[in-house]
Amino acid sequence: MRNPRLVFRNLSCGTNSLLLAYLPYLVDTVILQQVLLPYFERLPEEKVVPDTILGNVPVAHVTQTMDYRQVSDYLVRGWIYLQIEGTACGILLYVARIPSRSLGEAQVETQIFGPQVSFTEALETNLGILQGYLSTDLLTNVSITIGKRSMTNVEVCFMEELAAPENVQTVIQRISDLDIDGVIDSGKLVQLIDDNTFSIFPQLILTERPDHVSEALLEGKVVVFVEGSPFAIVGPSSFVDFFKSNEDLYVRWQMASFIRLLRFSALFVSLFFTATYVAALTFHYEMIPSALLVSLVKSRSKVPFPPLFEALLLEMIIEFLREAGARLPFKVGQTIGIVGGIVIGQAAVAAGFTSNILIMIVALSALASFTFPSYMMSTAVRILRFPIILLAGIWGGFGIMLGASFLLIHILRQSSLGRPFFLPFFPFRLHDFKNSLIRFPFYSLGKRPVMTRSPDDTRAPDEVEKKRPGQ
Amino acid sequence: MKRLRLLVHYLLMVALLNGCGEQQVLEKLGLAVAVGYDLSKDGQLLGTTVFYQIDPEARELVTVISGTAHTSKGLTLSQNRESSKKIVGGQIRVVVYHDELARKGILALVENLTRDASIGSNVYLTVAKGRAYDILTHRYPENSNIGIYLYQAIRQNIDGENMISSKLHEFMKDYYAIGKDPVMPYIERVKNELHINQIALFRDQRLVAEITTREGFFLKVLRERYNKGELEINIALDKKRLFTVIEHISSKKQMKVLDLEKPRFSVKVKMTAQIQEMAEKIDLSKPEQLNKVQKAIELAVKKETEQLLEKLRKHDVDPVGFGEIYNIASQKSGKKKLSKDECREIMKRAKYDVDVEIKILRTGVIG
Amino acid sequence: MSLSTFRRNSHMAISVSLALFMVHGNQVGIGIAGVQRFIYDRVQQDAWIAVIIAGIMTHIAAWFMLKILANYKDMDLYDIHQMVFGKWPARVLNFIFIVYIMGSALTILRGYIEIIQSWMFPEVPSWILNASLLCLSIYGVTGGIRVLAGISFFSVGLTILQLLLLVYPMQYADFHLLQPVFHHDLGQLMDAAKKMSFSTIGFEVILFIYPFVKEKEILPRYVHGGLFMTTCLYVVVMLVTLLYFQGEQLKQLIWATFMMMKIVEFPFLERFEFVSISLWMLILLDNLLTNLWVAMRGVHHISGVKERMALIGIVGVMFFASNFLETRQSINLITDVFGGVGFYIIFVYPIVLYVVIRLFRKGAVRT
Repeated sequence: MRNPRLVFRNLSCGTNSLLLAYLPYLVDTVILQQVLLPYFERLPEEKVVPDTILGNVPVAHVTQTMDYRQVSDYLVRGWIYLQIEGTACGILLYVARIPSRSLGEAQVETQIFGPQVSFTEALETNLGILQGYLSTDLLTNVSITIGKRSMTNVEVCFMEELAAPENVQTVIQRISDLDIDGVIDSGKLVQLIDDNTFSIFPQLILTERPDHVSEALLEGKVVVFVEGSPFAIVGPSSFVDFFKSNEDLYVRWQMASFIRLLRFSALFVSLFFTATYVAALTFHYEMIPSALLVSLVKSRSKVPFPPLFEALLLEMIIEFLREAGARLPFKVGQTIGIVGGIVIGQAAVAAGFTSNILIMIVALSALASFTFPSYMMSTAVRILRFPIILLAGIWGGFGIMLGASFLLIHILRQSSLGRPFFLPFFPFRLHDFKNSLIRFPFYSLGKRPVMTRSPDDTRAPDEVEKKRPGQ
Repeated sequence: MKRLRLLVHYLLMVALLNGCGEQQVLEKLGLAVAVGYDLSKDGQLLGTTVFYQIDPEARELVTVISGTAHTSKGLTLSQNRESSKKIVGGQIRVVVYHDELARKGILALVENLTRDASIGSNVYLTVAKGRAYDILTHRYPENSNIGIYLYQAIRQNIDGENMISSKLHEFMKDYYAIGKDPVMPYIERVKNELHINQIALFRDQRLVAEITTREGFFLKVLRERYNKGELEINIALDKKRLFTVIEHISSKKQMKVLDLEKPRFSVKVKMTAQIQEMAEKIDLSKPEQLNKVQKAIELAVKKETEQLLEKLRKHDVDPVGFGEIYNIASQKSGKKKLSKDECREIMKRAKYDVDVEIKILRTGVIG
Repeated sequence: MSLSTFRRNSHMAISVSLALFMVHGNQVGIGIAGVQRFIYDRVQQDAWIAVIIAGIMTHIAAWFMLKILANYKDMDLYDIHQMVFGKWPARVLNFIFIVYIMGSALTILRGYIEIIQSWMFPEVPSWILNASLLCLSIYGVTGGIRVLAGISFFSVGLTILQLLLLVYPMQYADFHLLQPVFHHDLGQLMDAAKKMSFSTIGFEVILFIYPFVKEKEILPRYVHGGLFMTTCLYVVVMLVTLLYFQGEQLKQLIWATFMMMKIVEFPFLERFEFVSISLWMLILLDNLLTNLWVAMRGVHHISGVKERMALIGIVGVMFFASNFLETRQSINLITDVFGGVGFYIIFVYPIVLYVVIRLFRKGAVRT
């Protein structure tokens, strides 16, 4: 330990001489001053042995050590090292106050209805929140430390009896096999442990919502927390899971189903709408209905670029706006969105850069991609739009279909923790399907999803019977 | 493995870069909306094309171009030479044939439309009184876009069941049928307006006669299922003649061959309708009165239908498709399938037993 | 993706219900796009009956195939040949099968590209389109049987969705066109059914996926279910085609199914055939993937070459072979050849094999 900020403090209490060592910025100085120091003052005059202190020191966690290297590991996690002169072993007292923020509302995955709290960067807090949702001893953690240099704590959580052991084993195996110097965030970890790094689609969900995680745990999924990351990794996750928001469970099933369908149509709009415009205007002018033709012709008349270039240009502008909005400080960012959108849009049309209809289409497909609850998925879809537009500009409808077929084959080839990624659709599982494109009422969702291969697949047999309509 | 992947990617890239399809970018095209065919004086085809062109400098969205050639493809070529845009047929909505051309036969022209993959089957075919060129090049003060104007006018009439539909597909289907002849709307320009008040009757591919839209109503009833529309009809009630309007007509027809040797057909028409207007005050709430009116309308409809059938026979055309029915019946009795000409020969001797049944459902909002 | 995952994937099992989709998906390919005119040529309005007969034939052939397979546990046709005939005769037979499977894959691929070229991109060289589809299928086949089954599943879904669009041509249906029913003798119908058989083959895939199916005892009902679905689909398409077109018209149409799609129009989209042709890629891809997979397994079986290398070799051969088929005539020729050969390989050979197994190898091969 070569840290210059390390504090060594010698205390003489009667005949005892104590040595305290700690990192001041990790230790709760209030407890140190108001609890620990008075306690040391009151120590008996005669020689004390470590066991005495271990027995009655007013600190929750204490432990004993004789290993020097271990001491520094503890010190950097906010423990105080106490050495009584003349004894061989040292005592470690947990008085940490790791700097962290208080609980806040979810910022990335906002929802209107349901719990608003989100995870924070502190692992302990996260586990605490989670245990608050699931007050059961079935919730099990496995702690793993990864990163040769960062020594990051990772917790693998799952529900005993509900999670399939092979899933848990897969996750633990993949995490422990990592040989890397440091993992700071779960966003990095997830890329190291997912099934196919080459796929653009995320295969494990990242979520900051404790309710989402709790629900996933009840479905028999495995959750990974990383120290310092407010996002938990949830798996195995199917493609459809990325389009589910936990809010869908809190609103009535008709509304939830409508919203889900809306999101899936948004997926297709986002992927193929601009491409269809490009294909129709570049190759298949026959397909344009006569009522639309006049307005299309009029709006295109001033545009000097071919539709492919026009569409790519506008898509780029939208992406610039989005990225600028994300990078700029919050207050500026908001104005950029509005000002940029309106001003650039208006000016582009006035300058004859693009047609009105295309602005509408591009805005619509960008908007559609923002409806997905998963940020990763929405980014993936937005990026995929570009190759599809390109294909549409080269081969029209044939090109779009080529892209779509490739995507379909690609998705079919993916897996999440070894389970098929496209699950409720293929292989088709009626039970999982009931909670995918649409959400059926809960009485028909009495089983855990097939995706997780839970050893105990019944969720609520009695409730299910009682709530069945007509009884 | 890695090298293979690279190779695949490379091949894909090459394919994409070299294999770009022929672009038909909207603004580089002249999108033909309506096409007219005339017979020019030297016996060549005179083609007139109404097309959109996307040009920021052009004052008008719609341009008309014409040219002469021997074939319709030749026309496109000669028109392309004159135009700054490539004229394409994928958006054609209406094709207008000069009636004199139609009298000589238009099969080759129509077939060329079907051969072109870019032309749809929803194109309306029409016959024009006078030159199509005059109709398409005339400046209509109320409508700057003659193509769409014509299209909407025809479509509106067909949707409202005032006119018999003659889409490209329907024309070809009727033409190829043994024992059925195609029909087309007959359009006419009267000063600054287009009138569609006649129906052109074809014998195979040749225009031979025309009937009024009123007769067209009865033809339509016999040709297809009739769902809406209205009819003003003169009935004889208690030895008085008076006019009545029936509407929301829906009809079914049934035709049977009664006799194969001396071709005789039974034609049964069942109609339901609503009385909209009577020229005289008659109390229709009484069942016997209503019955009387019903009978009178039946009689009037029957008479007009018979007149129409007589007219069709006189012109030796069969747009209803009696020949088809006859052919089926004769095949069922074990004879060989008739050819087009045999069928037409037989139909010359045809007799019809018309039977009309009308049910008045409502009599408007007052009794 | 490493080789090990590939090997694991290709030996993955699929659930038995997917056999239905694989059978159906592999039967429906390019044939349905234009088979109607060949059947109409032979039996006119009774074409749909010929389709039903062809359907019954598939059930019979599949019954024999399943009987053969049930005799051997976890073996595909390649293994069975080896068991029954010994090493070298089996190699020859397997080679014939591989050539046939590759040939039919080639027909399908070339047929689709012919459609693309005549409808959308006449000037794009076919080798580029070939290469793009073959690259896509390499990616699919290396995903293993799961991907094949998945693509089949979605292609069946797409077929059914497109089937709903036949409502549009049905609006122009003329029911006289089906009459007189049963006007051909059995010989003519059988001849037409034989012609139809090229479009119904594809279910031979069960001979090769058999080892991968999980619950084999209930496989027959899914196979027959898939065959029944195909027959229903073909009958519906055939009926609608017969109702929508006049026979003489139909005789000229190379792709009658897409011609019917021309009439489909939505308020936001017209000329649905362009969409339909594009969507057809998935239906074709499912045929292509399955055939390539079967051929790949065969080459692997007779030569011991690694599956991946075998696949690349096959695709290479197909790519070069397809470049020799430039004209419509050569495509028709290959379609006729493989259609004719296919009839004997798929409908006759299983019966022969079954008899051979029953008579000569009784008892010895049962496991």
